[in-house]
Amino acid sequence: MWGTYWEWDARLTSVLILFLMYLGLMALWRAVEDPSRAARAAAVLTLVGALNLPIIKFSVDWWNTLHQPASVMRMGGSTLDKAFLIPLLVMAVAFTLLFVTLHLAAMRNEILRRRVRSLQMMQASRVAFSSGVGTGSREENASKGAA
Amino acid sequence: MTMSLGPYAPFIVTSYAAAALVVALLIGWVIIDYRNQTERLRQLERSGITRRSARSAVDAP
Repeated sequence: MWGTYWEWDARLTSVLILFLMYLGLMALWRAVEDPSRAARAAAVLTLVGALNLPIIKFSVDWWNTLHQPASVMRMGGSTLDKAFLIPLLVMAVAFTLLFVTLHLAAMRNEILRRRVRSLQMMQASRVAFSSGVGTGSREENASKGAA
Repeated sequence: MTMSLGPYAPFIVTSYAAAALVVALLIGWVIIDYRNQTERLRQLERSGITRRSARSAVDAP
Protein backbone atom coordinates (compact mmCIF):
# COMPACT_ATOMS: atom_id res chain seq x y z
CA MET A 1 0.00 0.00 0.00
CA TRP A 2 2.80 2.41 0.88
CA GLY A 3 5.50 0.82 -1.30
CA THR A 4 7.51 -0.60 1.60
CA TYR A 5 7.65 -3.83 3.60
CA TRP A 6 8.63 -2.19 6.87
CA GLU A 7 8.95 1.35 8.21
CA TRP A 8 9.42 2.63 11.79
CA ASP A 9 6.03 4.27 11.38
CA ALA A 10 3.93 5.12 14.48
CA ARG A 11 1.14 2.64 13.70
CA LEU A 12 3.41 -0.20 12.60
CA THR A 13 5.71 0.25 15.60
CA SER A 14 2.88 0.43 18.16
CA VAL A 15 1.31 -2.73 16.68
CA LEU A 16 4.75 -4.42 16.81
CA ILE A 17 4.89 -3.57 20.54
CA LEU A 18 1.41 -5.13 20.94
CA PHE A 19 2.62 -8.26 19.14
CA LEU A 20 5.67 -8.51 21.42
CA MET A 21 3.37 -8.10 24.44
CA TYR A 22 1.24 -11.01 23.24
CA LEU A 23 4.38 -13.16 22.91
CA GLY A 24 5.45 -12.09 26.43
CA LEU A 25 1.99 -12.93 27.76
CA MET A 26 2.13 -16.41 26.24
CA ALA A 27 5.65 -16.96 27.61
CA LEU A 28 4.62 -15.75 31.09
CA TRP A 29 1.55 -18.02 31.08
CA ARG A 30 3.68 -21.05 30.23
CA ALA A 31 6.58 -20.13 32.53
CA VAL A 32 4.57 -20.27 35.79
CA GLU A 33 3.51 -23.82 36.66
CA ASP A 34 0.66 -23.06 39.09
CA PRO A 35 -2.31 -21.94 36.88
CA SER A 36 -3.80 -19.57 39.50
CA ARG A 37 -0.47 -17.76 40.00
CA ALA A 38 0.09 -17.69 36.22
CA ALA A 39 -3.41 -16.25 35.75
CA ARG A 40 -2.74 -13.44 38.27
CA ALA A 41 0.57 -12.51 36.62
CA ALA A 42 -0.99 -12.66 33.14
CA ALA A 43 -3.92 -10.48 34.28
CA VAL A 44 -1.52 -7.78 35.58
CA LEU A 45 0.47 -7.85 32.33
CA THR A 46 -2.77 -7.67 30.30
CA LEU A 47 -3.92 -4.58 32.20
CA VAL A 48 -0.53 -2.90 31.67
CA GLY A 49 -0.59 -3.92 27.99
CA ALA A 50 -4.08 -2.45 27.53
CA LEU A 51 -2.47 1.00 27.90
CA ASN A 52 -1.03 0.41 24.43
CA LEU A 53 -4.49 0.21 22.79
CA PRO A 54 -5.35 3.96 22.79
CA ILE A 55 -1.75 4.64 21.71
CA ILE A 56 -2.29 2.37 18.67
CA LYS A 57 -5.64 4.02 17.88
CA PHE A 58 -4.41 7.62 18.10
CA SER A 59 -0.81 7.07 16.93
CA VAL A 60 -1.74 8.12 13.38
CA ASP A 61 -3.11 11.44 14.69
CA TRP A 62 -0.37 12.13 17.25
CA TRP A 63 2.60 11.37 15.00
CA ASN A 64 2.71 12.35 11.35
CA THR A 65 4.51 9.35 9.85
CA LEU A 66 3.93 7.11 6.82
CA HIS A 67 0.47 5.81 7.82
CA GLN A 68 -2.38 8.09 6.77
CA PRO A 69 -4.49 9.79 9.48
CA ALA A 70 -7.67 8.04 10.69
CA SER A 71 -9.76 7.22 7.60
CA VAL A 72 -12.42 4.72 8.73
CA MET A 73 -13.65 5.67 12.21
CA ARG A 74 -13.53 9.44 12.23
CA MET A 75 -15.81 12.44 12.74
CA GLY A 76 -17.51 13.30 9.44
CA GLY A 77 -17.54 9.73 8.13
CA SER A 78 -15.10 7.49 6.35
CA THR A 79 -12.86 8.89 3.63
CA LEU A 80 -12.51 5.47 2.02
CA ASP A 81 -14.24 4.66 -1.25
CA LYS A 82 -17.05 2.08 -0.91
CA ALA A 83 -15.08 -0.30 -3.13
CA PHE A 84 -12.49 -0.52 -0.31
CA LEU A 85 -14.66 0.16 2.74
CA ILE A 86 -17.21 -2.65 2.22
CA PRO A 87 -14.66 -5.50 1.77
CA LEU A 88 -12.69 -4.07 4.72
CA LEU A 89 -15.74 -4.15 7.01
CA VAL A 90 -16.81 -7.61 5.78
CA MET A 91 -13.35 -8.99 6.54
CA ALA A 92 -13.27 -7.23 9.91
CA VAL A 93 -16.54 -8.95 10.87
CA ALA A 94 -15.29 -12.29 9.47
CA PHE A 95 -12.02 -12.19 11.43
CA THR A 96 -13.85 -11.11 14.60
CA LEU A 97 -16.17 -14.12 14.29
CA LEU A 98 -13.19 -16.40 13.60
CA PHE A 99 -11.43 -15.00 16.68
CA VAL A 100 -14.51 -15.53 18.89
CA THR A 101 -14.88 -19.12 17.62
CA LEU A 102 -11.21 -19.96 18.19
CA HIS A 103 -11.28 -18.27 21.59
CA LEU A 104 -14.31 -20.32 22.70
CA ALA A 105 -12.63 -23.52 21.45
CA ALA A 106 -9.41 -22.59 23.28
CA MET A 107 -11.42 -21.92 26.47
CA ARG A 108 -12.94 -25.40 26.21
CA ASN A 109 -9.42 -26.83 25.80
CA GLU A 110 -8.24 -24.91 28.86
CA ILE A 111 -11.14 -26.31 30.95
CA LEU A 112 -10.20 -29.84 29.80
CA ARG A 113 -6.51 -29.16 30.58
CA ARG A 114 -7.38 -28.08 34.13
CA ARG A 115 -9.59 -31.14 34.57
CA VAL A 116 -6.71 -33.37 33.42
CA ARG A 117 -4.37 -31.58 35.83
CA SER A 118 -6.68 -32.05 38.82
CA LEU A 119 -7.19 -35.74 37.96
CA GLN A 120 -3.42 -36.20 37.66
CA MET A 121 -2.96 -34.61 41.09
CA MET A 122 -5.67 -36.91 42.47
CA GLN A 123 -3.86 -39.88 40.91
CA ALA A 124 -0.54 -38.77 42.42
CA SER A 125 -2.08 -38.36 45.89
CA ARG A 126 -3.64 -41.85 45.64
CA VAL A 127 -0.29 -43.36 44.69
CA ALA A 128 1.38 -41.50 47.57
CA PHE A 129 -1.35 -42.63 50.00
CA SER A 130 -1.22 -46.29 48.91
CA SER A 131 2.58 -46.37 49.19
CA GLY A 132 2.39 -44.81 52.65
CA VAL A 133 4.10 -41.55 51.70
CA GLY A 134 2.36 -38.61 53.33
CA THR A 135 1.03 -40.43 56.39
CA GLY A 136 4.12 -40.00 58.59
CA SER A 137 6.22 -37.07 59.68
CA ARG A 138 8.07 -34.91 57.18
CA GLU A 139 11.36 -36.74 57.94
CA GLU A 140 9.69 -40.16 57.57
CA ASN A 141 8.11 -39.16 54.26
CA ALA A 142 11.41 -37.83 52.97
CA SER A 143 13.15 -41.11 53.82
CA LYS A 144 10.27 -43.09 52.20
CA GLY A 145 10.44 -40.91 49.10
CA ALA A 146 14.21 -41.37 48.91
CA ALA A 147 13.84 -45.12 49.28
CA MET B 1 -10.60 -14.62 -16.22
CA THR B 2 -7.41 -13.78 -14.35
CA MET B 3 -6.87 -10.74 -12.20
CA SER B 4 -3.86 -8.61 -13.02
CA LEU B 5 -2.07 -7.72 -9.79
CA GLY B 6 0.59 -5.56 -11.45
CA PRO B 7 4.12 -5.16 -10.12
CA TYR B 8 3.02 -5.79 -6.51
CA ALA B 9 1.80 -9.33 -7.28
CA PRO B 10 4.57 -11.12 -5.28
CA PHE B 11 3.85 -8.95 -2.21
CA ILE B 12 0.07 -9.49 -2.44
CA VAL B 13 0.28 -13.24 -3.04
CA THR B 14 2.87 -13.71 -0.24
CA SER B 15 0.74 -11.70 2.20
CA TYR B 16 -2.41 -13.70 1.48
CA ALA B 17 -0.49 -16.99 1.66
CA ALA B 18 1.12 -16.03 5.01
CA ALA B 19 -2.23 -14.98 6.48
CA ALA B 20 -3.89 -18.21 5.28
CA LEU B 21 -1.04 -20.28 6.74
CA VAL B 22 -1.25 -18.57 10.16
CA VAL B 23 -5.05 -19.01 10.30
CA ALA B 24 -4.72 -22.69 9.27
CA LEU B 25 -2.04 -23.25 11.94
CA LEU B 26 -4.25 -21.64 14.60
CA ILE B 27 -7.25 -23.80 13.67
CA GLY B 28 -5.05 -26.93 13.54
CA TRP B 29 -3.47 -26.10 16.91
CA VAL B 30 -6.88 -25.76 18.62
CA ILE B 31 -8.18 -29.02 17.07
CA ILE B 32 -5.02 -31.03 17.98
CA ASP B 33 -5.00 -29.59 21.51
CA TYR B 34 -8.66 -30.64 21.96
CA ARG B 35 -7.89 -34.19 20.79
CA ASN B 36 -4.86 -34.43 23.10
CA GLN B 37 -6.78 -33.24 26.17
CA THR B 38 -9.78 -35.53 25.56
CA GLU B 39 -7.41 -38.49 25.02
CA ARG B 40 -5.52 -37.77 28.28
CA LEU B 41 -8.84 -37.42 30.11
CA ARG B 42 -10.05 -40.72 28.66
CA GLN B 43 -6.82 -42.47 29.73
CA LEU B 44 -7.15 -41.15 33.29
CA GLU B 45 -10.78 -42.19 33.53
CA ARG B 46 -9.92 -45.62 32.12
CA SER B 47 -7.38 -46.07 34.90
CA GLY B 48 -10.10 -45.41 37.48
CA ILE B 49 -9.37 -41.76 38.23
CA THR B 50 -12.68 -39.92 37.92
CA ARG B 51 -14.05 -36.60 39.05
CA ARG B 52 -15.93 -36.42 42.32
CA SER B 53 -19.13 -35.41 40.49
CA ALA B 54 -18.81 -38.43 38.15
CA ARG B 55 -18.08 -40.74 41.13
CA SER B 56 -21.09 -39.57 43.11
CA ALA B 57 -23.33 -40.12 40.08
CA VAL B 58 -22.04 -43.70 39.79
CA ASP B 59 -22.17 -44.36 43.55
CA ALA B 60 -25.68 -42.97 43.95
CA PRO B 61 -28.32 -45.67 44.64
